[in-house]
Amino acid sequence: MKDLYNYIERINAAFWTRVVASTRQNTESISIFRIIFGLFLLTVWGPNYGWLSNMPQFYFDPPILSVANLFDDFPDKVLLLSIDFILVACGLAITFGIYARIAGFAFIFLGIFATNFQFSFSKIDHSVLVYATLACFSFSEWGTKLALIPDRSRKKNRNEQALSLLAIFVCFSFFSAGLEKGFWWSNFDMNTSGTVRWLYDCFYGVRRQHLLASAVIHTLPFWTYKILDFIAVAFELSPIFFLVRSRLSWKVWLLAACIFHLINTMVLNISFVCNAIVYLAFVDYSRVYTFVSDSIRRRAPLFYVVGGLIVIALIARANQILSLIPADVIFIPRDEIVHFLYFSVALWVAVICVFILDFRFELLRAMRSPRHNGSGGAFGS
Amino acid sequence: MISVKGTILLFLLLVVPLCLTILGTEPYPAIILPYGGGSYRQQDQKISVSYKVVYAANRQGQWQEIDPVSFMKPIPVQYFPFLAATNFGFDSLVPSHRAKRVHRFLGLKKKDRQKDKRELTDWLRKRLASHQMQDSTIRIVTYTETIATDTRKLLSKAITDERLIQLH
Repeated sequence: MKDLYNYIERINAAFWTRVVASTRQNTESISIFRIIFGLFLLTVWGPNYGWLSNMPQFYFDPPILSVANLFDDFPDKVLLLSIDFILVACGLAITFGIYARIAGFAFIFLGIFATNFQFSFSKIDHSVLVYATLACFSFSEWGTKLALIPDRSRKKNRNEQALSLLAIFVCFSFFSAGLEKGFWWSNFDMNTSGTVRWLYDCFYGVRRQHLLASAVIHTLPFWTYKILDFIAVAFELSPIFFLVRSRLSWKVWLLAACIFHLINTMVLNISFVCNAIVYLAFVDYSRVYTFVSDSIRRRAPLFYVVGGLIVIALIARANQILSLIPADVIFIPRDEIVHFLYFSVALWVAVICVFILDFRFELLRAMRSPRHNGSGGAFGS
Repeated sequence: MISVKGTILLFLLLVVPLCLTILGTEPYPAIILPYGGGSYRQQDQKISVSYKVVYAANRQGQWQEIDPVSFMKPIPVQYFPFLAATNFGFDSLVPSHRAKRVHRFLGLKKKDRQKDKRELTDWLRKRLASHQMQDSTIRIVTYTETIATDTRKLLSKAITDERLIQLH
């Protein structure tokens, strides 16, 4: 029995060692990521819930396994507006590093609480990885540097756990998406296709007919969709293998994920911009730490550009909250779908560029490392 | 590094909500992305697609298509198909047999919202009036289109379901 336990312990240790090696970043890097994450909350993905208070109470029908079921109705307007403003304040605190740890936990608690009510309309949205990212990093040291009121450094550094757990969450979320597809799509019946269902349901059912949707639906022959079925299943079930293989292969998968979202945005008009910030957590920002740190200290142009963006974002967010209209991106109303899609394309292209630069750097580093001189190679573990 | 116990706990935290989702009762929050594993079959190089369109009568009494984005504002448009599927909430979505079994097992019950029906009716009537429509009826039509998969031409378009919601 003891032998078995030791064996399991060894496997467990080997697994997490590989995951940590694939995802590890230093405190400087994740401090920069904290600023990017905060700006993302303020400008790109800022949920607000005040509008729910104006909904007919008949629509109050949250998922059966949800904390909202402890309530009888949509909450009061004052409560929801208070939550909206606190969420913005949390975004601001995370950006500036003002008790970032507490701000992170407050955002998770209030955001998830309020989101439960939004899912009363018979559909659960899947932006949970943003909360998972915040949860993981709120245990880390991301609030200890480049911060106005820094968090206290802990004796035990949890940066590695934060990134490892987040990587597992990303892998599992894709696994959950690919599992059912794997059962139903992986066959050689050339007259069925799951990709066709997504494409036609989006095009005709929800009228997502923008960008390349029409061109794709009117040009690709049916058999190409069958190939796409297999690619989609392989892509969604595979991230864990890339993660444990090596740091470089994990970055290859992340780059592929960004391209996957870009294609989905252009063809299915499903943008999933919230996932961009999740993938960006795995980029190594330590190379720009000195530049950012100096820019803040010397009050360089970057400092004023970001400061101006924050002021504009705060005004826009306050306006969106008080007008009781759900919003994501500042300046783009949610019902302006085409503008939002163009913005999403630009965002995914930018994220892809960041990953290409990061990948290039990792590749160079791997080639310079002594291990590369052996037989393992840059993609070996 | 995470211990064996921590790994087992993590595994349960991830897998239990996934199992509940597979059984038709997706909890929130849970680490899950959209799954949508269904597929379409082409028969004789043809494929059929169904979708719903919502109409209301204009001042002249003619049916006019409603733009879901502006009609349901501020409800985000991604919820529109689900609201249309439940006749704007007047019918409830029928849970699958698996979901019903899970609900029974866990002793879970959906709340009865009948008392708020009047408020919803008034809300929808106001929406129609603000769109310069008659505020008495909404018509939800399900169309089924048959499309040739080789030429991508529309072969036929038929009404396969039609419902009238009387708002009074």
